[in-house]
Amino acid sequence: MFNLGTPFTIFVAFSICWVLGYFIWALKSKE
Amino acid sequence: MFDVSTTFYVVLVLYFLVIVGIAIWSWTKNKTSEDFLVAGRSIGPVVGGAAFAATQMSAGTFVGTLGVHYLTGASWLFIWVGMWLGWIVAATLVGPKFQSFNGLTVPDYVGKRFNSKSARGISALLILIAYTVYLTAQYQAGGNVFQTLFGIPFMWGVLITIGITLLYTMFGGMRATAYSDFFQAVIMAGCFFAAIPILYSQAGGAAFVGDFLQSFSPNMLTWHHGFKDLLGAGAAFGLSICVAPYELARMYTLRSKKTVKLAIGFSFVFQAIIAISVAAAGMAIRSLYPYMSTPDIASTIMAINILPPIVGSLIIVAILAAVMSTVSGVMLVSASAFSHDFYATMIRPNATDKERMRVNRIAVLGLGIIPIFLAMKQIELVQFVVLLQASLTASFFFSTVLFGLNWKRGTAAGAIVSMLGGFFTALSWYLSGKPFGLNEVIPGVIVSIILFIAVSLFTKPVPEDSLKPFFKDVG
Repeated sequence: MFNLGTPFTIFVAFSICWVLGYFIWALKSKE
Repeated sequence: MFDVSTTFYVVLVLYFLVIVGIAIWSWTKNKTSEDFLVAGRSIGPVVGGAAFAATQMSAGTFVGTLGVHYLTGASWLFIWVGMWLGWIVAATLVGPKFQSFNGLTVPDYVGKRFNSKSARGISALLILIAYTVYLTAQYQAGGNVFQTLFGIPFMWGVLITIGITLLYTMFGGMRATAYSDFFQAVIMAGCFFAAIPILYSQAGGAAFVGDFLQSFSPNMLTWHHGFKDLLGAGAAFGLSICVAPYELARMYTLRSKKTVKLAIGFSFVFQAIIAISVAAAGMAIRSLYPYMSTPDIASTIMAINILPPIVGSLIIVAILAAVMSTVSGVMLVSASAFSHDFYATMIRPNATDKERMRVNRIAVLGLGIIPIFLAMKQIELVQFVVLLQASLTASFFFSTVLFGLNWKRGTAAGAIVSMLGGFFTALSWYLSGKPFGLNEVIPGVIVSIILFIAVSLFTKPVPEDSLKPFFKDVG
C-alpha cells in the first residue's frame, strides 16, 4: 500500500482488523 | 524563526475562541464538585474516546514520533500494538469497574478499596508531585512551538499556551476538558489525515516516495527496528497506559460500563488515524527534505514550507492542541489530588460543596502556576521526573489498580508496599543504567505484583464493605 514497505502495509491492515474486531466485541458485551 | 502567514494567526485565534467558548458553556453547567471533577458523569462514547486519545497524545507524538518515522520509516508503528494491548486491559479489567465505583479521583478508589487513609494519602502525594513536575515538560513544548515559529520569547509562548489552558480547566473543569479534548482530537486526526494526500502530491506521488526511499535508505521500508526494540517500547507504553491516573480519572466521567468499552473503541479509531498519518507524513517529508539538521523539526517544516497555509496552520494548531489537552487532563488530576483527597477528605471533611468548588479552582490555578517557575529554573530534578513519570506512576499503580480491582484478597499493606516497592525498583533500575537494555517499567511492575500478592497473603483481608463496590459476589 502506497509503496511504503511491508511494515506500513501490515500495520494499516492490522489496525483496520483491530478496530473492527474490538467494536464487534464491545457491542456484543452485555454491559 | 519561520515566515508565518496571516492565515496562521486567524486560524490560531479561531481555535482559541472555540476553546474559550467551550469553557464558558461548561462553566454555566458546573454546579457541584461532581460536575467539576467528573463532568456530572455525563460523557458519551465518542467524546470520551476522543478525550482518551487526546490526553494520551502529547507534543511528543507529532514532533518526536514523526521525527522517528522520518529517520527510520514505518516499523516504529508497531509500538502502538503494545499500547493497544494496554487499552484492552483497561477495557476489560479496569475501566468498567472504575466507572461503576462512582468515585471522584483515583486516590478515592485507593482509599475505598483498601479501607486505608494512608494508602490514599501516599497515592495522592505521588500524583501531586509527579504530575506537577510533568506539566513542566508540556509547558516547555508549548513555549518551544511559539519560539520556533514566531521568534517570540520562550516565556511568552508558555504563558499564552498555559494561560488559555488554565482558564478553561479552572472555570470549565472536567466538562470543558473533555469537550475541548474532543475538539482537539478531531483537529489532530483530521488535519494530519487531510495533509497526507497533499504531502504525497507535493512529493511526486506515493510510488515516487517509495522508490526514492528504496534507493536512498532501503531499511526505512523494512524492519528498521527489531522485534526486541518494539516489544520493549510497546510493553512499556502498554503497562503505563492501562493504569495511568490521567486516563483512569476519565473513566468516572463516562455514563456507563458499556460507554467505557465503546469509548476505548473510538479512541482506537483516533489513535490509528493519527499513528498511520504521522508515519506516512514522516516518510514523505524524508523524500522532500532528505537531510534535515534534526528530525524534530520535520513537522514544523511540513507545516510551514510544504503544505498550503491553511492546512499548515491547522497542523501547528494540532500540535498546540496536543500540548493543551495533555496539560488540562494532567492539571485536573493533580489539582483534584490536592482539593479532594487532601483538603476535602483529610483537612476539612465538613467543607460545603461551594467551598470545595472554590478550592478545586484555586488548586488548578496554584498547581498550574508552579510548573511555570520550574520551567524557568531548568532544575535538573525536573528533567529527571519528566523522563520517568510514565514508568514511575505505572510501577507505582499497576498492582494496586489492576489486582486491587480483580483480586479480593489484596490488602492495604499489600498496596502500600507494592506502590513503594514498584516505584523504587523502577527508579533504581533506571539509575543502574537499565540492565539488559530493559525499560525500567517492566521490573518495576513485576516487583509491584510480587510484593502486592506476598504482603496481602500475610496480612488481614479488608472488610467486605470496602469490597462491595468492586466485586459483584460480595455482600
